[in-house]
This record gives sequence, structure tokens and C-alpha cells, in this order.
Amino acid sequence: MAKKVAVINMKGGVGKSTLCTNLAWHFSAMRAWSKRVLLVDLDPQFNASQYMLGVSRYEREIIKGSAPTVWDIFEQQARTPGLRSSKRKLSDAIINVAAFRAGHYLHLIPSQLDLSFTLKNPSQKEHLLSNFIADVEKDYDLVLVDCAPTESVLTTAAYLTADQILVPVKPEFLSTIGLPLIRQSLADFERSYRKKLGVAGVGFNMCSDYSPEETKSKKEVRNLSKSFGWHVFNEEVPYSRSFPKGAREGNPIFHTSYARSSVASEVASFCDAFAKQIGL
Amino acid sequence: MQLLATSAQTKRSVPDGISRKSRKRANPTSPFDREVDRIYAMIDSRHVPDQEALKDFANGVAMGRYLKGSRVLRDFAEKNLEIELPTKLPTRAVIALHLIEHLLRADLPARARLLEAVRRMDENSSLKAWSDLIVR
Repeated sequence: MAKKVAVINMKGGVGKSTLCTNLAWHFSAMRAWSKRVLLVDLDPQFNASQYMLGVSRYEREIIKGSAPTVWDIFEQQARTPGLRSSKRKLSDAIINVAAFRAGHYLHLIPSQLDLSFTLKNPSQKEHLLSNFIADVEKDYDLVLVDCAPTESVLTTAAYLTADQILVPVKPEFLSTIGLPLIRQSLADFERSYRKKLGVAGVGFNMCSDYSPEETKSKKEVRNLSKSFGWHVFNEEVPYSRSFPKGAREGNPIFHTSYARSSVASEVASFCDAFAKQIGL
Repeated sequence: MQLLATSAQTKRSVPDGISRKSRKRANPTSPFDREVDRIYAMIDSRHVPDQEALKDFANGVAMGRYLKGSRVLRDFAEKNLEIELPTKLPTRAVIALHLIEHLLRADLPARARLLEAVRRMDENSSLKAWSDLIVR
């Protein structure tokens, strides 16, 4: 059974997609891990898809190639035109990003802006993603779901798909308010769907370490997380200009040109701590 | 409400004809140290039982350990001691001096309550306050 983790925060801009993509690359590409990883891009902004595929491949395979995306999974009952006309199977939504000689791989279910259409017509679609993943998860060791920041049917779909959530937090005041929002969102879901979701932990992302405001935010997040009973990772992901550079290059941080090795090392430490926490 | 004096008004006057360099040579300690010494001297002169607590409070306010941030400082001064702070705040040491003056006018139990309120104010977390509103 794959470990299924939704990476989620109700606040946008905290680095969910970047962190998710680097986690996926770390566990698939690093020889110490060599895992079979599936990344599900569940955000209409489709940043993770942009990062993983780049514009050329996205245009070739998704736009011109009419490859199904996560949107098609949600709209499968409506028989979306793209899926029908191209006679593609829903399983074609899984794109091979990288295949390694040892047999493991990194796959992606991309997203597209039209996923926001699902938000306008959400009824009875929340189970469709979890059903799809249930059919394919035997082929993976780790499934990561990159979530959109707003509470919607996509959030419910992510909760139904995952066993645990990871909450990246940027240590600045307004971003930290995403934490109680997630807490309430999770509580509402567990009450409605009678499914208990684990919290892998809260991870500090985009840390710069030399601001009193950041220190105060971290202290407040630690105290609040403790009151929720949530683990807070000691390992932190630093802020670095190399992350947007890596996104532009389509490379994980450990392969981004001119990225400092210290940054890659800190990201690796976080990834390893995350793996230990979820039992990967 | 009493308007708190600015630091310019509380500076000790220096006789004419003395140069800045001479003044500095005669008073090697910094203005901050001199202001804190004045506060300590005032507390010592009153012979109150909670001298150490008051000195710790004064030092904490002057150094920015207590009542961090101008908003918190204003709230405390205005609500608890009925002191109106000027728009342009004087130095924290000057503010500490006047807070101590007002605290010394209060009786011991009231002073203890106020010092406890300061301690609790700085432990309050804005994030916790928001969380209490959001999480049902």
C-alpha cells in the first residue's frame, strides 16, 4: 500500500507546489530512496505541472496531445470532449516524468486551469480521485497530492485520497493563520465523512532565520501545533532564490544550476525527516 | 490624562560654555545608562518591598523585553496607568521612568497585578487569538 500524503495549507504562496515537487524528486531520484512516486497536481493553478513538465512538454502532451488530466478524472461522468474524441483512457492521465534503471519512476497526474470548472459544478465528485488512486496505488510507494489553497470539493477529494497531511508553513504572521484554518477544515471533514486523517506534521518553509518576526512566528506556530497535538519538524526548508530558478529549469533543488549545496542539504534533511515521520 | 514628557524635556540641563566633547568626557556612561540609573535611584529612594520586581520591569521596558512594540506599550500605558503617550514616542527608558513613577503611586497589590498583566500581555500570541476565533 502506498503512503498517500496531501500537502496542504489554506494560505497560498507558502511553497506547497515547490515543496511537493522537490519531495517527489527526492524520493524517486535519490539512490538512498529509489521509490516509485506519483505526484497528483490538484490545483487549478497547476504550478506543480508547470514545474515538472515545463511549457514545451505541457503544450505538446496536454494541450495538443489532448492527454487527460486530473480534471478528466473529476469530469469522467460528464464525458468531457477531450477524453472522448481522443479515445484516451483515464489512466493516460498518469504521465511518466522520469524512469530510472533500477525500475523505480516518478509519475505525474497533471492539472489544468479548467479544473476550476469542477469547482463550479462540484456535486458528487469528491470520491472520484480517491477511487482512481485506489486502482493505481499498488504501483507506487508514495503518492503526494499538491492541493489548492482554498477550501473546496478538491480539498475534500484530497482528504479522501490521502492517509496523512503535511502542512508547509511560511513563518510570517498572515501565512501562519493558515494553520487554524487547516485545523478547522480537517475537523469539518472528519465530522462529515467519518474518516480520520493523520497529520504528518507542520514544516517551516521559506525560512530566512534572521528576522525577529520570523522567530516569533515560529514560536507561535510551535505552541499552536502543540495544542493541536501536531508534530512540528525541526528540519526547515530555507528560502533560496534557487527554488524559482529550479522551477524555471524544471529541476529539483539538488540539480538546479548554481544552487548552494547547503540549501540542497537542508531540503534533503527535511525530506528524510518527513519520510521517517510517515514511515516510508 | 497626563501627557507624558518627551526625552528632550527630561534631559538634564548643562551649563553654557561646556563643549559636547567635555560633557562626554565628564559623563562617560551612555544616555541610556544614565536614564536607567535614574530609574533605579528613584526606586531605591522609596524603600518599597518589591524593589527588585520594579527594577526588572523598568529594565525590561527600557530594553524592549516587556511591552514589545509601540502598540502594546501605548495600550498598557493608556489603559492601566492613564498615561497618554505622544505621537512621537520618547526613548523606552524615558517611558520606563514615567511608568515606574506611576506604579510607585499605586499600592503593593495593585502594582503586583499590573506587573502580572504585563507578563501575560507579552505571552499572548496573535496567532493563538486568531486560532481561538477560527477553530470551533
